[in-house]
Amino acid sequence: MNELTADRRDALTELLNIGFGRSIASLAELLGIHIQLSVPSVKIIHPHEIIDVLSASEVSRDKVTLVQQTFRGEFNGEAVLALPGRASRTLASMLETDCGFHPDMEPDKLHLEVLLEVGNIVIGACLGKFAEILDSMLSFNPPQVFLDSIQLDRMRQTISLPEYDTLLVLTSFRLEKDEVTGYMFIFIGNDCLESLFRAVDRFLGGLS
Amino acid sequence: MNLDFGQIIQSLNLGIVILDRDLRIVFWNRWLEEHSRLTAQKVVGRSIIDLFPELGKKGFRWKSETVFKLGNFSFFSQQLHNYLLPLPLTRYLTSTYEHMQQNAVLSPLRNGGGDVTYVCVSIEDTTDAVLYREKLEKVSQELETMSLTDSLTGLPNRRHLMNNLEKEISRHKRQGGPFSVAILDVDHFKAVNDTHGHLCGDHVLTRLGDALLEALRTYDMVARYGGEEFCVVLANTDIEEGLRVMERVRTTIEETPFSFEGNKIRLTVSIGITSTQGLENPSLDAMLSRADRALYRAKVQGRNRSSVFSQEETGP
Amino acid sequence: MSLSILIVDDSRVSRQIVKRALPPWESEIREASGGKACLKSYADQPADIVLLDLTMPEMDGFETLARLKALDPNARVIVITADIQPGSKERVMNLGAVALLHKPVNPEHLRAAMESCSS
Repeated sequence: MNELTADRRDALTELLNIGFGRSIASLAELLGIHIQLSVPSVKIIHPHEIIDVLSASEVSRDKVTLVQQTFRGEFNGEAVLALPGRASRTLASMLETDCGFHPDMEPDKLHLEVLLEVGNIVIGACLGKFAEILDSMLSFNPPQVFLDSIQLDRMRQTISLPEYDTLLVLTSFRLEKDEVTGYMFIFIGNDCLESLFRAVDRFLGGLS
Repeated sequence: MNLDFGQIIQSLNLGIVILDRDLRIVFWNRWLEEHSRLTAQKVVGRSIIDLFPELGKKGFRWKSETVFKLGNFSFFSQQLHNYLLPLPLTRYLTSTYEHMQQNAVLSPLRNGGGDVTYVCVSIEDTTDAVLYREKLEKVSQELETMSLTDSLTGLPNRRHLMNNLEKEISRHKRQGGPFSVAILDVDHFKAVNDTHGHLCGDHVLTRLGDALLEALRTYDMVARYGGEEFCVVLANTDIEEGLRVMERVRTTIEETPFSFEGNKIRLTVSIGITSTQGLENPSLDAMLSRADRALYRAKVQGRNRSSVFSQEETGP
Repeated sequence: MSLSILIVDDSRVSRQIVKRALPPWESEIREASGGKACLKSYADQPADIVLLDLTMPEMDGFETLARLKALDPNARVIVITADIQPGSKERVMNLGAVALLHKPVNPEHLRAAMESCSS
């Protein structure tokens, strides 16, 4: 039964909340800054709402960069980190200057590498923790910079959203230093919803 | 069935090296022995950074640290790093790369308590894929050169224009009847790029191409001649008619602002025009250089105008 | 004597997780789904220990904690949160919490924190 019941929604929200808290703490620790977890952190929305959500947020005022990473395990899916242009530049300079991450690369390659690294850490930590609580395991494909510095209306033309229902989770975080908000989307395809819900039900069953 | 995992790891077409918390090698598989010419005996126990100092410049310490501390996977993509370990390429005839091109993945290995105690580095030889990609790019570029279309505007490209102009000249020699050639250049184009960016510049050129197609007659040919230059071949057209047509084009462009990302951009163009009239033996070079001289005059006289080639022209 | 415990979190699942992690002492457990409900419940009848989440809509945990302490300076509050940054811990301790625990809460840590409440 692939229905998103209230309990399943609550569990997913809470578990991703925990996962996301972990990934933001990892990033903050690595960067040596404090990152504010905004509230509410997790929402489950329909894929078509993704552009509307971004349009209504701060991300729309700036160009946005998307880093995607595919994961697989008990359930497969795709995670996407959306960062406003400003944030990605800030993160880049932080990683390089404060954290000792300065590989010898040409500037535009280094820029890409930084985006990939941040995406990898945030996505990996969040989903890793999420899977851990569900007593499950996930592996990850290499991250890709899907769109770098693109205007939001261009995004509408470039992204093809699935027609069928797909579970989509959205979380947001705020870099206090820069007052910019970033978003993470997690897509889980129809074919994997059953497995995901099975894992969630297993977790809920263990509670009562 | 008892699987001999040791044998499996040694038979994989993949380099596998396992590192402890101090980045010392605890396992080095046969693939790596064969490619590096270093036996496991020689390398086990040594720090991988000592063995391959280049790793220090690739952010290897940082990335492996995140695997140990956070338990994530980490990646080195060929497109950004070319390779992780400098291994020679056994392609003496078939490639000019000095080193094997590689993708690498770092994965966490945990103990019973869930802590990450080792990092597994797996290295994949992607040289074939890279060579293939380069070949494809080369072919694609060759195709583009051979094509007759300008990829940005969709208009005929310079090559197409030359072909067409040759044909027009032959026809003129056989049948008589004048035709005209005009060269059109965007005024202050550099300023557009500087103010609004190259994407805007590209957009403007594309829209200008569209505007030209609309404004001209179906039997005229308009081509992208240069960076910000367009060339028009006006068939069956004498100089007066030609000037009339191009003036109409010029004023239309002047009066219709272009818009890009909410900005309104006003453009003007300068035009140099010439025809076969007065030319004994019209040739490609002669017509184009005359039109070009006329264009230059239009610019010098203040831009945003059409100028007809005149025989009296001498000097700069 | 029974211990009265107030669990405050906007997520029902989260409250369940915390309940499951509680030590097997005799206790009377109440739940509140937000800051306002927490303050109201505590004002009606103080609890021996409050287990409080930080990230809640409307009134977050920091504000709830501050108001709770204003209401009763002796209130014993253990914060249980997904926000595991050191800055948050500092802030919470400055506001007078007994301890800050990370989600998913470890039963051993919870027991230890609750034991320290009686001292």
